[in-house]
Amino acid sequence: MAEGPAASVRLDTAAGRRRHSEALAAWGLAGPATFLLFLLLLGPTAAVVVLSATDWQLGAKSLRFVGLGNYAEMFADRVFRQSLANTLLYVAITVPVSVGLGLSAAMLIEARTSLQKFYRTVYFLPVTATLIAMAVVWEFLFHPNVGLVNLLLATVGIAGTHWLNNPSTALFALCAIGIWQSLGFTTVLFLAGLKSVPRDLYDAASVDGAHGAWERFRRVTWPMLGPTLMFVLVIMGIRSFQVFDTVAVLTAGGPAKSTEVLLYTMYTESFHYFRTGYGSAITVVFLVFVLALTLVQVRFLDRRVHYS
Amino acid sequence: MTRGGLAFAVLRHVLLLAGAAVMLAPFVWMVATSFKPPQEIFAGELSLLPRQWHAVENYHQAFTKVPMLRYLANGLFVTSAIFALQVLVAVPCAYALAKLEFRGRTLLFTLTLFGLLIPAHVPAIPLYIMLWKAGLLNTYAALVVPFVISVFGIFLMRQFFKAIPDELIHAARLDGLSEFAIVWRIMVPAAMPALISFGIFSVVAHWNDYFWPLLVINSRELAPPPLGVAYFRNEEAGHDFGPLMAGAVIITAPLVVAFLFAQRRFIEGMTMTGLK
Amino acid sequence: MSDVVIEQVTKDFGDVRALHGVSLHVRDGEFMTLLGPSGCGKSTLLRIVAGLEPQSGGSVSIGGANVDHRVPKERDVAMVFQSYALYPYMTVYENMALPLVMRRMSAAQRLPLIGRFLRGSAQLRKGIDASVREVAASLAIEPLLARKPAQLSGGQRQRAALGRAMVRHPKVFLMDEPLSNLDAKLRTHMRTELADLHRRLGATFIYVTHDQSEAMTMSDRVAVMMEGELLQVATPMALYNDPSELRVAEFVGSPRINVIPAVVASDASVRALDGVVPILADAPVGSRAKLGVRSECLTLRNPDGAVTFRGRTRHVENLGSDCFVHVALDGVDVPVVARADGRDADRFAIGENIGIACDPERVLLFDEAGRRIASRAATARVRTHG
Repeated sequence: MAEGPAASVRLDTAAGRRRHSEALAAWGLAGPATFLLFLLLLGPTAAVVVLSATDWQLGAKSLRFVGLGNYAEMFADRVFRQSLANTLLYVAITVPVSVGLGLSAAMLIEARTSLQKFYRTVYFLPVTATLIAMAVVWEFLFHPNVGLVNLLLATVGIAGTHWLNNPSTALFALCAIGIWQSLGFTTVLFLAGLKSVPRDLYDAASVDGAHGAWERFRRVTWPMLGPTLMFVLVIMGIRSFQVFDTVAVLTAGGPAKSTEVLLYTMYTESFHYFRTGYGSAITVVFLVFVLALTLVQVRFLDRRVHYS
Repeated sequence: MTRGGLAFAVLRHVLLLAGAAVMLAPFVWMVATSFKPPQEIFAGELSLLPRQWHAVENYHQAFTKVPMLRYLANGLFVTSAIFALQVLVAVPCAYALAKLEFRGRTLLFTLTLFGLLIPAHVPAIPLYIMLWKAGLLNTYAALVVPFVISVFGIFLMRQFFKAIPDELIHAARLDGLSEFAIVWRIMVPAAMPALISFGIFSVVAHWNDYFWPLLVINSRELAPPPLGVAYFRNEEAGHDFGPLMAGAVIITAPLVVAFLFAQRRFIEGMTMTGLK
Repeated sequence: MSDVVIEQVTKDFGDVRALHGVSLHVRDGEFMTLLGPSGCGKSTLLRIVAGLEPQSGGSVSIGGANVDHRVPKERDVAMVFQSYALYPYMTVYENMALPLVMRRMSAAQRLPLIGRFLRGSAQLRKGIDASVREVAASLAIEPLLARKPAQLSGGQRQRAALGRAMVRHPKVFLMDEPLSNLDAKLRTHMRTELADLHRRLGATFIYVTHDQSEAMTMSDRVAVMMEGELLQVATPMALYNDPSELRVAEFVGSPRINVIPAVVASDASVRALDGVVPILADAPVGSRAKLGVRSECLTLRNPDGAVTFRGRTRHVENLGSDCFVHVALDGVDVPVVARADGRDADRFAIGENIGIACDPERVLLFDEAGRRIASRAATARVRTHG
């Protein structure tokens, strides 16, 4: 492949002319995408990093470079620390639960052939529904007096609280919505992973003596699902780290900042208080976390990819 | 291969049905409530069917209090425009990356991969500033333009195009087709399944996007469905649950119906299990 | 004792019956091959013997004991799969050790991490290590023990799979088309290795394949199956020379046996096309039949001489040592194939008239339904199917 300045295209040979015209055609085809890639994605990302080192306010005429000042302010700010802690807590609850339940559901579905398609459809349904609309429905479900949740709890004698208005339960209520919405996603991913385990391995394990359900899971299913599990964990991690919609529509970060999350803080700082420099710094922190999660997956997959 | 026999088969259904009930409960309750009059809703009873049908009133209010149909139309317009433009931009680029040799190819591909790592929220602030300076805030352009570049689309289509045999392209060139024609006449028809998955992924993602419209739109007429729902909720201020649920039904119905019709494609597109 | 007795085994998959009352006695230490085309039920039968699939009817006994209600581990069988089914995330060593770990160690000792520290664990592990290395040495795969299956070639994976089967010294070895994933040269090499292995171990082997040359070269006896039924069980030579059915005759032997429509003409002859073959047939005069002749039982001669059939040469395949001449006969759709010496290949010209003489001593006769008719050459000794 001719790359680099040393292998320049020669126009005095037929092959060179053909390569030249091919390169022209290629840039013609890829040109718009390349331009837009820089304009809409790479450029703004770089701009965010630069902005994070300034104190620019939206609409201000001038700005000042403050270096790491924004970051210092962030980590000294109680609200930001709370926001980060809430986000991490949200992730720490949502991810294991939706991954664990998703794996269980997938294994149950895969264990027999009856009604497989039906269960897959039903479990995936919440994923397709517009989250904002379903968040509004869940708000109604969580209503202290007439909401379904408290009505059902009352039938077993438990008194429910005002889930979304109580600082000690609000974040967990949001976790519940998040898990409900993502469960189908993890289930479907695990179903694909389970289906890709060759039946022969289970047969071989049976003949080798691993006949019971636990042994089959431990010796065949769990190791073979390794890459899928990692993939699902990271995807779910990134997804739940980006929690925003439910907070913005239902709680606005409250009550008492108990549901303040990273992206919401970024939103309010940048577009309510117009502190875009500071908001950019929050964005950078957000980006770093997401990149870290992705990197973990890439490293892990690289190590374990030698199966097939 | 039956292990555990009848007992396990029954247990399996019991557990899965319990889970299914939890998955479906919000939908069922949403629909049921949209048919009920206020007295029954606030009576706090666990009943599914309304004693008195209030459906017409609830849905009427939902459609008239806020321009619900307009929101749906906006959703349709915006997602279609975004996808159409994404295809126009991404597909030729994917072809070039997959099948053509040129200097800078690896660099471009690396940049695309890098773009995949960047979550959608990161470029938001500068994009907002750009649109603001261009005077495009609060327009359809603001909703569509930032998403015209789809690195995911480029990556996906490139994977697919790579698998198409080179002979097809050589034959086309011999027949006199330009590279541009090859893209649209040969590659796209051959890669239809990938294009459909890409389409579903894009349409669903942008139909359900709340963050970006929240930033750039503040007038009713332009609101896509999620923003519309938020407006509606604020109007109702948590009292008129009947119309509110009716509104939710109207907004979620299109995607749910589409999903039920094409489940496998939907699941493929949304989980992109091909993306490893 | 490690003989296997399969008694009237049937298997249904919903409405479809895959096995129709198959009965087979595999003797202790025998190399028995289940031979048949794809879908004939041979793999299903093997899985039933292994205990991976329950039968719908009938019973299976190993070493004199009924094993119908035993799980695979308790049947003391080992299996080699077509795809080898090596655990991709374990090294070859761990693959081979697993059967021993499952058998010799208790559930507590097998627990991850803590199992290691239980009493007796270390001792057992040493024993397992010795067993694994011993078998690995016998298969010459000791240097491969630390590798994962993905890092091995096809032949090496095959031996690793064999090692995993051998490590437990089972009563019966079950093999499901283990050679079909190998290239042709490796396949022929592994055939001899497997036959050697069988002699060395002296264990009972039940081998499944659709390749009749494998069956012919490796087995003590072959069980031919088609469409869920057992057609014939016999030694390879008996199968070749004395098939019980036309289907068996057509499946075994390469090139395929020639089949010519015939009529029992008189007490001492059978007429096929224009020719008359002097054989005594155990069938009423006038009944229709099929004449089966192998290519090596036909001699090519000048058409004007003493020949049974006359036709035209269609095609000549020269393999060097032999050549096969395809002759088109009127009344037969498929050309008849006759064998000649490789050195004579130039004598046959395409399109030329040619004559075929048929050796009545080696002719096989079948009725219209394909069942074998007892026959003997007129004035020769009796031969019946056995």
